[in-house]
Amino acid sequence: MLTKSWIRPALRTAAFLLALLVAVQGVGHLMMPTSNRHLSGYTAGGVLGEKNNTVDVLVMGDSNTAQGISPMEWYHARGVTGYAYGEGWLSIYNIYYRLLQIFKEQSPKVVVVSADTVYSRRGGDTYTAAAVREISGEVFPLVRFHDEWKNMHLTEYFKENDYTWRDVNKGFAPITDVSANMYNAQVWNYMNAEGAKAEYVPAQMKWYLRRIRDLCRKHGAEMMMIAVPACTSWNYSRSLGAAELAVELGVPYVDYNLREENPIGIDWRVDTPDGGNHLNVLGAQKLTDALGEYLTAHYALEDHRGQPGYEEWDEDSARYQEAKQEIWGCARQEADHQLQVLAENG
Amino acid sequence: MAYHSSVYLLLFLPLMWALWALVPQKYRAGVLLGGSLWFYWCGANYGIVWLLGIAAVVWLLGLAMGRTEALCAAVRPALDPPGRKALKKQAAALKRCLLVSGAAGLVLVLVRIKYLPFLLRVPLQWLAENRPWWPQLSLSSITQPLGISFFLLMGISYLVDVSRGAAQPAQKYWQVLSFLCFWPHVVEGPFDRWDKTAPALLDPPAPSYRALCFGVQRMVWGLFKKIVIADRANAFVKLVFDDWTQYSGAAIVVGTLCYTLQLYAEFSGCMDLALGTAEAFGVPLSENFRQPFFARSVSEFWRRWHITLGAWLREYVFQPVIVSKPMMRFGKFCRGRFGAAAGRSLPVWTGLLITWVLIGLWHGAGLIYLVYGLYYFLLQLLGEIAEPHLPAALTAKRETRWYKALQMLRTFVLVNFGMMLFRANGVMALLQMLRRLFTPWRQSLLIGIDAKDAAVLAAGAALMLAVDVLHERGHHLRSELAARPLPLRWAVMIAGVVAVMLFGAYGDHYDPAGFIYAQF
Repeated sequence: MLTKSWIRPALRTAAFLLALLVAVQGVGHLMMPTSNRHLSGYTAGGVLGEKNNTVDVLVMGDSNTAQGISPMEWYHARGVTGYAYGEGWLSIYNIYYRLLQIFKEQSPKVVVVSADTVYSRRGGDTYTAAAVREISGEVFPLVRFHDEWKNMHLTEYFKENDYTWRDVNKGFAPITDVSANMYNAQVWNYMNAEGAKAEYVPAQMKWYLRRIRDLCRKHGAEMMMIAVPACTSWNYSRSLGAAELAVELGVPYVDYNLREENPIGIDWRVDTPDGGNHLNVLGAQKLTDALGEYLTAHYALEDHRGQPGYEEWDEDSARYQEAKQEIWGCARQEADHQLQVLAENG
Repeated sequence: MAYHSSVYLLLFLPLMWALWALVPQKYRAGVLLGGSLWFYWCGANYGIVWLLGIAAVVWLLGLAMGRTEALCAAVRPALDPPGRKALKKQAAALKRCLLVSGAAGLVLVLVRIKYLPFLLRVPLQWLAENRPWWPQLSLSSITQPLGISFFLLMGISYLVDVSRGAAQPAQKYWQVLSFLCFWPHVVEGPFDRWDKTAPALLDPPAPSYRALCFGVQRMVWGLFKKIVIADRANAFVKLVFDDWTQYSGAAIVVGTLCYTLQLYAEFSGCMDLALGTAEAFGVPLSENFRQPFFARSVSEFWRRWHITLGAWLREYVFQPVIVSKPMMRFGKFCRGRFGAAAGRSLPVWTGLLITWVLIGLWHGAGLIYLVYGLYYFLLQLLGEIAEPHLPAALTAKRETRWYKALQMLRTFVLVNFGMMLFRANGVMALLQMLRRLFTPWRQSLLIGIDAKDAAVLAAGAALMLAVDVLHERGHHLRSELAARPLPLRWAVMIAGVVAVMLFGAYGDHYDPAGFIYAQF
């Protein structure tokens, strides 16, 4: 009798939850943008528009990645194809699910994970709350794209998705502003090792990092971690924490905030658009060159320039180089002006 | 862990319910207590020490009062009538002493944490500026523990009820702790009574499919009000009230209306979430709202809005104050000086004044909250003074439909002005906002929201109004839905959940907004 009394409600509840799941997922798919241009922040969604299996290096991270790494520089200098998948506040949980999608179309040889995503947490969130929120956003497209109805025309709901849009900059978001944090120049000495202890990384985050590593291995990609220079959001404790994680995962880790790893030298007076939170194109050039050098030295990455099947990359590279002169010129002008102001103010 | 957060809805609540339903009956109360402590720890961390300490004090005082009563009952048969009388008097004095010391201690804790920095700020500043010889003093601020106003006042009500003999004291510490920290009412209330809530908390009923369905339905409706309406209105309200100098009189009027809508949707939505949660666990909590905008006077409004706060103050402040000895003496004095009518009214008005000042200050330490309380006191006072002088022709029409509508409209306007007062960033800001009402009204009202957001806001408000109309007419919508065929019930529920997820103002494009009343 007891069994009978709970089986019926349990079955009914399960059936209801199933119906709810179908409805939520169905509406969620209707809400998904019909173009990959609007699939993610910045131009990260453009990776799905690349010809299948052409991206050799995939960098996954938040806004620091999008503004700090320009893969087209690698193609121009070394013929290495790469994509910077950067989105504001992207977390490790997001990266895992996005990789699942990307691996369906691309087979990168190296997946570079930006270590600041480990510590990326919106204000007020606990670790568990952040995990549940981010994972639910990935599992239920309706949560992630719920606001899309405001941008969609009625006819778009029934249009087939067109995920062929390509980004010439390969995910890079060039910023030409120059703005140092002159009021608090102390932040430039942010990698102070004195008394620093490895910052805590919650177990659920570690678990997802292991899942990312295993996913990469399953698809024949090697995973590595980097820390993008950021003097207001990075510190030595985080660097130690990320280094410990990398050892646990058995993957290489390079922190471009550390002096010995940063031979080019980020100049916080001119290489940042916002007082040290992100890099502008001048800083991005330095980081991209250094990372490109590391990648070609440590991984067998082919030079695809002029190869059949990479015509689009050659075209995009030419267009990128054409636009680059103007963009970089603009940033250099701003940097010169900033240095002049600094010199005048002593 | 807010009631509308994904971690609460997708992790905490399902886990707690499953655990609660699966464990044997004798452990269910323990599961509820464990869940409450976990919930409180997530929101307050070490603030939990306050909760544990206050629960211990309340429990010990209640126990002492109970033991006094039991001792009296045991000794009484052996005494002669004068001895019995003396014993009763002594016991009453001891219980009163325990109650007064306990309640005063709890109030002092609240005053120290919440009000003392505000009360001492001006005198300390004055002394520092005008009396250089005065030593520099600074009051260390204590982080306000989550929900302290709620569990302290519930603790006081427990003590008063035990001292009056209206409730049996808890024998075990965990029982009082379980009552005070029950997670659905610890953040924003309602103020529950021990005799109503404790039985189901301490001896929970068996899990029920119907209770679960009803609870979840109420929670979905609460989520709709909070996420779709209140959080969407927040974008508009925040801009208008924080930067009023930029906006016209029209924006200030609409901003005030939107704030009223936001506060109502949010607070009543939070109550729906809290009561829905408790219902799913078989625990009845007190209703805190009853269609407040159908009130015909401000006093009726406060009997429909935050009902349990009003009831608490009425029972534990207003009534004891007006029957207290000093107030009786005051009444006698007034009767002698100003006549019988004043002798009756003035003590009541004094009680009302104290109650309204407390209502104002309960919302926060600040001059604006004091003014807020006084505003409602004045309205009620004027209403009572004017009532006997209304022309007979008008009072005769009191029950006609148009007169009722007029009264509702008047109350609505007065309440909205009160809301403006409540939300304004200080008294000066309020005065300047009022002055801006007379500036040209030509300005777009799409401030912080776009046309589609505004449409959703209007549709959501219309739906809320429709539901309130049905409730006011005596419909019990969930029971009526339960009588419908299963496909219709499921369709309504699924539509509700999808609507919340689809039209909710959450994610990257919206500022996350916490529950306003959680800060009180």
